Amino acid sequence: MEIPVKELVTAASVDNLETVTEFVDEQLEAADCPMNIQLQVELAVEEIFVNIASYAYAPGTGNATVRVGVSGEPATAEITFMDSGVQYDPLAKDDPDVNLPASERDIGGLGIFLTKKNMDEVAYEYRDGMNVFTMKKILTEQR
Amino acid sequence: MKIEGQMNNRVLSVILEGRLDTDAAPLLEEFLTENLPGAESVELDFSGVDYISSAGLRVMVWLSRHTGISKGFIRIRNMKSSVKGIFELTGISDMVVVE
Repeated sequence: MEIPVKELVTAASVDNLETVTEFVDEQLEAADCPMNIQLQVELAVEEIFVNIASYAYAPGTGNATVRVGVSGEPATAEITFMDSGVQYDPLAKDDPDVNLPASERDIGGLGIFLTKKNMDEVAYEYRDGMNVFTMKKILTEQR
Repeated sequence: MKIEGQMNNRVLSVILEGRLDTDAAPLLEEFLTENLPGAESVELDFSGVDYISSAGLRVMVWLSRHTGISKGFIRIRNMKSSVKGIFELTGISDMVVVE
């Protein structure tokens, strides 16, 4: 299964979350991605895009670029987010302690934790003044 | 997301339908803030929820904090396996009663 890389450039605003998830869903549907895997990818897409929309350019505004392609055997989606906002490595933070009670839980950090758990690979790089976050997901049921 | 609730014998029952995502989470928090006063426990029906993101999970953490640490206060019914998996992965399942 091969879906050529497509690119969406949009204002990094939470208002555009639906545009971004729909764009990614279209490519996954073209690759006959199973529904449960699509939901896992959507979750990661929401977490990463909302992070960019909330923090990359605050208090100003800017664009986010999203690229999606599917290739390989088994079919693997590669999704890349790019922004030219403040340099930030979301993978640098420790995972939240999921065993703590609510009163002691740090309410942040769950999004990136879920992204790591739901995707097969995640990578961050700061390149040419851009934050580049890449994640991969195998689009077939494992086991 | 569609949110409907009613109070019976100090139990606030809420039926949720749709995606509990970044857009919906503030609506649910607002609904609960308005309707929680007087409730001794909350029952959330998740049969219509097939997607939850960290924004939705944060509402659950907020709700547990808001209501003290009494675990029995929040009960969640009819959770789909995909959503249940996210609750378990993040430990949020320990803050609520999953029925």
